[in-house]
Amino acid sequence: MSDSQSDTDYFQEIVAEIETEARNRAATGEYPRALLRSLEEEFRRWIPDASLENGVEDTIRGIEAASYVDASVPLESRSSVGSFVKWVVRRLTYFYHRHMAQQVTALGIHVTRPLRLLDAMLKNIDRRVSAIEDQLDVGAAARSELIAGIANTCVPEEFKEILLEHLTDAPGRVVFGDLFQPELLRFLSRQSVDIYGVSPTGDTIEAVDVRQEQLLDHLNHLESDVLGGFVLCGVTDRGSLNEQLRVLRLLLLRSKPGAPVAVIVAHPESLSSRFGPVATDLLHGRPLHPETWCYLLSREHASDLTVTEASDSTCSLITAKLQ
Amino acid sequence: MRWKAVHQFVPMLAHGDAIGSHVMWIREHLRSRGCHSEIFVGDENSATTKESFNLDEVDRHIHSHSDTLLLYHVAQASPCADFLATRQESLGLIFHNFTPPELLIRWDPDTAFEILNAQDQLAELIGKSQFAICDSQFNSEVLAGFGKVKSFVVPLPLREIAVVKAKADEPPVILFVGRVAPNKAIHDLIASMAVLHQVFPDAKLRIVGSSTVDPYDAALEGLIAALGLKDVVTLTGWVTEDELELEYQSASIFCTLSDHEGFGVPIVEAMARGIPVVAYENTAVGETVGEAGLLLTSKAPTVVATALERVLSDTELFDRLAASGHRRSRVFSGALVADGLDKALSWDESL
Repeated sequence: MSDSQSDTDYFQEIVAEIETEARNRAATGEYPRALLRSLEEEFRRWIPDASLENGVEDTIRGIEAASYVDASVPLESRSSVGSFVKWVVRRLTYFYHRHMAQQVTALGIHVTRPLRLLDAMLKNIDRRVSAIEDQLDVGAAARSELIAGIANTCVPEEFKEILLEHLTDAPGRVVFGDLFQPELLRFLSRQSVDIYGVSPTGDTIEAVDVRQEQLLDHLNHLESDVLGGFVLCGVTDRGSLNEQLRVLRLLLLRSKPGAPVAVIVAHPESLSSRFGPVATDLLHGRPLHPETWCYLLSREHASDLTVTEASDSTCSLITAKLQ
Repeated sequence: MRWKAVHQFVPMLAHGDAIGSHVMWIREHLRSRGCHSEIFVGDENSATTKESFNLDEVDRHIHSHSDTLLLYHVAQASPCADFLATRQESLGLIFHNFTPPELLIRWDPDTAFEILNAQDQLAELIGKSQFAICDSQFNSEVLAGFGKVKSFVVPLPLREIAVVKAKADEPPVILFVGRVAPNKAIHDLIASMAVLHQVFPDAKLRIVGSSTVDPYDAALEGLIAALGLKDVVTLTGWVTEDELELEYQSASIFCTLSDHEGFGVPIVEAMARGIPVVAYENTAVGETVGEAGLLLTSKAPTVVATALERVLSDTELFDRLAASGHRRSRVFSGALVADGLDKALSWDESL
């Protein structure tokens, strides 16, 4: 075996090993999930067109290949004389056939080049629409009417101490959103937890830092890895599945490694008994079961997952620590 | 050689870029064979006015139409193409390929449309050409899409280069050399560096090459800042040849994740210096690297980072890549490329 052949085999084996190893590392969390999330998010922000899917592009390539015209007429014939005559005719008329073929090929190129640009533009639009769709809740009007009639779940008193203990050594500011619960914030602040609230409702209250804005908007404007932890509630009862997952994704992205996190969520069964059949149908997917939150957090390799159910079984508190 | 004069036409002549160096090399080679050879440009560059002439000076240099070959370097739209379409001398093309406009349209629509013009010019000119010289088999296949023409694959020549050894005690340096353009996928390199940085915190990425389009530069700067890589990634901008040599000397690995390459001069330059090459296989990258580098089929940051980490930590792999790359680079030696060029220039359609 030559040097180059043995190198080829060796390098190909190494590449296969590398690709397997990279997959395993991503799956086991050896490459931090927070980092991979951050890459995805920052790519979406800065390089939205980093990848172009194929599809129309392949079709255009096919058109281009098909529009190529070969000026060389085949010479096959049953007799050698016939073949020779064809060769002479082709030789004599080659300049003409070639001229015609070039013009037809050039026409094909003129037609497909603008199509290529159109294809690129359509992909761009498609990508942007997908991004917008991702954030839109179709049928939002009907749902918001229903949601308006549903009282927010209050954080039970018995969760206060658990939250305090969980958040005490947070490695930075903790965000509490999007329920308006100034008493709980004041309690935690007085116990030296560096915490602030984000809620679209409620009035400004002295000595409690509550930002009056949508939690999604607030998180969108934060830098990555700035939060020391989070308590997610409110939106967990009312938000669409997309909203809830998007908020969680942003919270994970904005939180530092090792941050304590908590989710407070009403029990779906207890809420559906209050909602009635219409709201239960139209507000599908919310609130999520505590098991679902545990799954979502463990998928991000969060550790120390604990679920505490309220004594009246109306809601649960899920706590965990990010990696 | 049957031509007494072979003159080259190039959209613009620049020192230091791949096409500019190629044009100069061909001129010197032709002159060494006793051929009259000059360079004509579509757009003048103040840095190379002593090396080239404008199109309106062509007739002063052509003494016999039948013994003169005009060679046109096809890479971008140029007044040269329209000029050559009207000439009666024999015409040959040197096809360097075009960046696909769909890769540029979002960042640099003007250039994307200029490339469409260049493609139209090529479609018009190809019927008039006797033959074409392509930098790679990939380019030859692309050219065939524009029309039928006898095509020769002659790569770009490599100048004499000494093998360099990166100092073992220096932090690892991942090097990319090339224009900072969207189709070069610098953003993918930066993303991969973010992952590699987890394992090799002292590793650096150096992007050596001039910038091309402001919005892409701004996006890269934003991405670098957002990923916290300001101290890790350096965009040097344009460098002199001496500075480029220093960059190669300090490199541990050459890495390219480019989405489109018609050849890949920096890949060959890195291989010639014994620098291991890690590359994303597509367009002409695979045939340039040959069997002498790690050709990845995915450029997911985790895959690229794992590959870089493996090369940095596996001494046997590092040494084999370095030796194999150096062997491979000999294929692009000036002598071999000169033979290929002579063969192409000696081809006679009537034979």
